[in-house]
Amino acid sequence: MPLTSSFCEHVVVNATPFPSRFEPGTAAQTTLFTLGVVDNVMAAHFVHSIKNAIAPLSIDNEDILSSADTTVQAAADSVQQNAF
Amino acid sequence: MRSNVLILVVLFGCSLQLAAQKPFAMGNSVVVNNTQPVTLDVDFSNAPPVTGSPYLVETNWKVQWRANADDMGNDVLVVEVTVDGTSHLKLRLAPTPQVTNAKKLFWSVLFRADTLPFALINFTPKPAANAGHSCTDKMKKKPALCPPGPKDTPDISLIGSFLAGGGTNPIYSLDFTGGYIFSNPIPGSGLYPALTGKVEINQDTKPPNNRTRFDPDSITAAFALTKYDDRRVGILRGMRYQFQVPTGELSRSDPSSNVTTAALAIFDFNPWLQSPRWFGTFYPFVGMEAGRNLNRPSVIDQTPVDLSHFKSIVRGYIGADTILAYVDENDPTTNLFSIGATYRVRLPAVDEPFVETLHQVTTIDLTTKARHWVEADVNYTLPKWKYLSFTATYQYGDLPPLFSFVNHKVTIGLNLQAVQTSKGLTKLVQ
Repeated sequence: MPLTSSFCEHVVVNATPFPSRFEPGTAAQTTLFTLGVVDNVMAAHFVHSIKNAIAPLSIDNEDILSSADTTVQAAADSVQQNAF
Repeated sequence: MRSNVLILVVLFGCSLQLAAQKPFAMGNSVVVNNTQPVTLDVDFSNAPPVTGSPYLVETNWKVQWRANADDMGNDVLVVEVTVDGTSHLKLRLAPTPQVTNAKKLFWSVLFRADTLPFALINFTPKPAANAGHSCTDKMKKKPALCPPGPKDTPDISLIGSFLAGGGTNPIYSLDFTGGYIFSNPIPGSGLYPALTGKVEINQDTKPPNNRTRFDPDSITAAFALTKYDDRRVGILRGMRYQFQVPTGELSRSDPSSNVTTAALAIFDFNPWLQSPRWFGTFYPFVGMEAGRNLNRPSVIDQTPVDLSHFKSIVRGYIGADTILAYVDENDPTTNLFSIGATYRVRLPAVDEPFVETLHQVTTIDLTTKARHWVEADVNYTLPKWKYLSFTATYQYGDLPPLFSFVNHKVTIGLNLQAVQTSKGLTKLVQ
């Protein structure tokens, strides 16, 4: 599976606690907070879910934008750019 | 009626046939894959190229990469072109650039064949989203320490108070919590190492005080390993498993020390998030502590005690952390207000000391009585300088090693605090 923008967006959304709250086409406006990444614990699971989803590619934890105010688009871009 | 349906089906089939017969068309985007060797995905639309198509001839492709936009191009050979799925041509390259991340290079992909129009596709790396460090710029990596938001439990926290009055020497009270989780796991194990500690000094000293001292009531320090499990079950978002190997529990005011190991399972439930401004979290845990007493006092608060039978330690350890926070509507990291609570109960399986001072009379028992610890805090952080916050903390209960009783203590004051951001992980249960 190529690491396309849409694939990374799919991975990011599914790594959040509430993926069903995401409305397609709103990646640039939807923050991770609104999908349930509200604190460090949820951010940690978010990061680990992404790492599992893109295996066998790998990515450093610090390279995945996971702050509550990060948009889905920015998080997906950080995955696409830094996975190797 | 039936004939109309038949006509529609025939027309639909014909339209599908026509669509399938649309000729191959090159797209204008390329995706760089950090595989070994590096591959490029060139998109196309309509029908894929058939065997013998010029698009599948390696020598019809010319690829260059540059580290910077103005650099001279470095040629790489295309050694294989394959159709990947229904929308991509995969170009396998050799030699592969000796860089960690090929997506940070500038790429030019040129297709030229005698019988077809040429096509040039450029790949420009996305702006260095993570370059530099900032606590506030969400597109940058954060430095090791940042001020906490209302939703963060500080990783490093120092709370102090000072009491002075007639007929008593000053009483200084300090509460220090520190935890540092390394940002990458031990290779191959998935275990994140960490160092953690908690110091409570003069938490239950009352005036009049005849001598100013800094006597820790409780010091705990541990080397810990944390493993994450992301399996979701209903409202459970995932689990954390924490191993503390070993933990030291020390008290200087009544000299005693324990060494224990602990294993905890933490249940990370989905947050409560009903509105864009209010959220709550609830993380209960269960675990076990086991260890040994290393030394014990013979006198506590001028009361002789015989703790010679206090040697082995086996405890159940249960608790929960919860927080309710109100955040800014437009920026969920902007502080407004939070209420947090921590509950711990240690359930000794063998007798351990229990020190209680009521009405200036100290009693010491060796019992298996449950040792509760409750801590709640209300926090408001200054918007202009988030390292400083106003806080009110309530404490009640007993902490190891001697489980000296802290009776309904309320602290109101200033809190100087920071959050470790480089870990990208969670704080440890302490």
